[in-house]
Amino acid sequence: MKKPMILTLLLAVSVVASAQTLRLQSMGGMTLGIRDTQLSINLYDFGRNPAWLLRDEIQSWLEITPRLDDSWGSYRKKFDPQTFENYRLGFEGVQALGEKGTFRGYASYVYERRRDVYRALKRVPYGGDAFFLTDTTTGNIRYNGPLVQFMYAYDLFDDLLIGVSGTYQILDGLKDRYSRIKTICRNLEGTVGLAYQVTPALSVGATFTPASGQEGIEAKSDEVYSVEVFNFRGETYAFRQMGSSVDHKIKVNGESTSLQAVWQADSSLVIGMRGEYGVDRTHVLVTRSASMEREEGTASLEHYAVDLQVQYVPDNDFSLGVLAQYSKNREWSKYTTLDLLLWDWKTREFALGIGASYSLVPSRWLLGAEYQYSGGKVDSSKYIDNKFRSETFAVHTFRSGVEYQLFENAAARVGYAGRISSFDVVSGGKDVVFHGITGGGTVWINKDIQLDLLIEHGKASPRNSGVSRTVLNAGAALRLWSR
Amino acid sequence: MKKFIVAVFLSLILVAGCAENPPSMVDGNGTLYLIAVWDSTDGAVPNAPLLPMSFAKVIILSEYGLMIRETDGNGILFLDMLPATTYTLSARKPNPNRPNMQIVGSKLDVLVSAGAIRRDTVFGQSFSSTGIAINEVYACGPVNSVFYFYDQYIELYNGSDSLRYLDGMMVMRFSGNGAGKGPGGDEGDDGDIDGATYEFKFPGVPGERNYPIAPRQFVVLAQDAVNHSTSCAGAIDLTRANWEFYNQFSGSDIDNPNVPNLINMRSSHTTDFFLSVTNDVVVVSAGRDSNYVDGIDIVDVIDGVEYQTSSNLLKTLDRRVDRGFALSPGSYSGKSMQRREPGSDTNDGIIDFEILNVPTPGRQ
Repeated sequence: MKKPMILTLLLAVSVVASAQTLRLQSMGGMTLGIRDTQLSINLYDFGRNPAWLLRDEIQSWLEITPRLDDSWGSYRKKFDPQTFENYRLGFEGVQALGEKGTFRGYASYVYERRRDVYRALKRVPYGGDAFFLTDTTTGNIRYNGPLVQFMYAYDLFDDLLIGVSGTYQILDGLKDRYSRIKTICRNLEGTVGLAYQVTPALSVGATFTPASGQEGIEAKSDEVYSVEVFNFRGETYAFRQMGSSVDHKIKVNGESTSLQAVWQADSSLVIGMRGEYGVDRTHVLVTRSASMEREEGTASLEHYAVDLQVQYVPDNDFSLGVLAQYSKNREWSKYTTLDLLLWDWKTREFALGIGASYSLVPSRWLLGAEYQYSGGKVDSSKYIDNKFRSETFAVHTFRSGVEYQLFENAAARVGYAGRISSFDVVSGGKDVVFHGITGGGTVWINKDIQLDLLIEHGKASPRNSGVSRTVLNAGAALRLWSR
Repeated sequence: MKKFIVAVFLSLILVAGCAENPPSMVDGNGTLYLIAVWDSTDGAVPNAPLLPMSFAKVIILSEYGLMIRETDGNGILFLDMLPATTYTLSARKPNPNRPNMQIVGSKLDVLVSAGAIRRDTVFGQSFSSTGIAINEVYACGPVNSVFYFYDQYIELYNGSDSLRYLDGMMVMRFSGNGAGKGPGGDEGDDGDIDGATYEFKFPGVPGERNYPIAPRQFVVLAQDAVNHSTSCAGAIDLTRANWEFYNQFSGSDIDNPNVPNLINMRSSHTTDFFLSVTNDVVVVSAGRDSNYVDGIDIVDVIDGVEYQTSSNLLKTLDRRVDRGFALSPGSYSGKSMQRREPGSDTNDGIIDFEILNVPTPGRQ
């Protein structure tokens, strides 16, 4: 459940699912049926192909993006934090170099604080594998560190573009109570993409993305206390490690391949398709004596996804979007020494969505709304715990937003996002209802300086459960255009 | 050129990794079918019928920790959905014919494989504790951050039905012989255990009858028989200890005049009877062999315990003294290691001992 889980984890801290810009996030997080320069159906925004950066970003700009994402509440799984706080400051820039291509760079610094984490020591305890690492206390864990990213696109020939991108992130973690674990997370990801303009209306692309990550967790007895940690295989069975020092490593490597096509059927209709296949392999390494590192277990994730998105824009006032998605995931974990299967889970999910927006030009209003239905099935066989579960789920998502042009150089936005899930795949809740409100705006300080603001607030709660989880996100983007 | 680049790129995509297939066998479906029986005549009558150990407590140890279950009225324990691993089993119950005796049966290295049924039988024997045993070891120190561990104690227990005597007995710590088989190992296979670093002795000589220990009596040997809670909150008051380790070669060792002393036999050793807080070897011997240089004769050993924080560590104390080691609590956790039943000694520390959250000097 790694990718869906990580995805949903991100959803949990963001009112809106896939909005890429503060503008759309502040309009309830609409993604369909609304036009936005940074969410177009092209090989870059939709296809995530770095090669198309060259065609998508033709102006240079620099952006400063402070952001906070907080969530808190008792609606969570056992090892999740009671309170999650993430603060980051990012700098992003695009430099259009003309015939030499286009360069995009991003750097940020993250400070993340997880309060009241019950025993869990892994950064993502519910990553989809069967291996948990715990100590004996509830404490706060903070992570902080930089992330850097670059992207470069170049026109190899008149109609063939090549692009590369790379991301490197390093995070230091520290638990403030016994066992006072120290964590170092390193993630490295690269993408190579090709894009080919077959005809003026049709463009196709392909990307290949290898990725590698490692989370090293080290606990050393401070002052006088021994370190005591438990390595779980599944939820029930754990072996104890005690000593002056305990080391634990989680290594993940994988690769994904994506094919994309965008067809501009005519001036008002554009269709995008994207297919992806990816594999992730997780290796859990435990040091059980002074110098012997042993593979405790492995997990393997396989992921397929197909996206289809259509946008119809008959005129400047009206826009209609349609979405269809299908994805399939399978992950299994095994205990390496005995080559025994511990956990095997599969998900199948589809989504259909439709959205529209309409611009009331005289009064400068833009109104938008969209609806998305997702359904699927989760099959989980936790052999080691003798727990078997099969659930079908349906998710109804509503988003709506309003943009009002206050002045020639200022706009205000509000939005609403609602979601009703028959079954929450991540937290296991039934009949989970989410309501969120969003707000924001844009101010053009002058023709070259643009300031976007966002605030989101929402609450998720299983019906009649008495528990809930609240999210509060805020962000700003100060963009300096180079014209 | 263009075709070449596209071809190289597509080749790269095609050689991208595919997912592995999962193993065909699953964990968590092992089964253990255990029958516990005992001979009520203790071998006195040949071919006597075996009786089921009905409603016996079964201690099941593995890398996953400890489970305690109970046999049914027919002495049968059926456990399914077990993870595949190696288990150590110990069935025990009071002897219905002799209230002061325990029936204990153990089985080591019982492998339960995935998807398989393991059938096994445990044969119980009556244990009348033959005499004095180390019943409790408190070594880790109280919860503190100033390295305070001076409230350590060792508790002895007379599990027999007769009066025993402590005269001339020795209490030793083995932490030497690191270059060979380790502390308590029989270096040279000459029938003795090597590596004694501390040797403290009760007054008198073996065979004398001046220092009795009554049946079912606990005897506490304190590192220092003082109220340690006045020095460190949470430490133990040992003013009521029966004996105290006192090093007459030390200029600073505390001596409570109201508590008799075990004295140091090695003049080169000038500290008190300190134990390592998480791993060590403690041996009690009759005291007939006090020559630690060539090793302590195994036949002279009354009881020995090796304790460690993990069952994965190398065991060094000779198996004739103790086959396994007691799992110790963490350093400065305020916990002790105590026998599950007073004096019940199957010569396997991992089965015999459990961790107590609150030490109990002078009682079970």
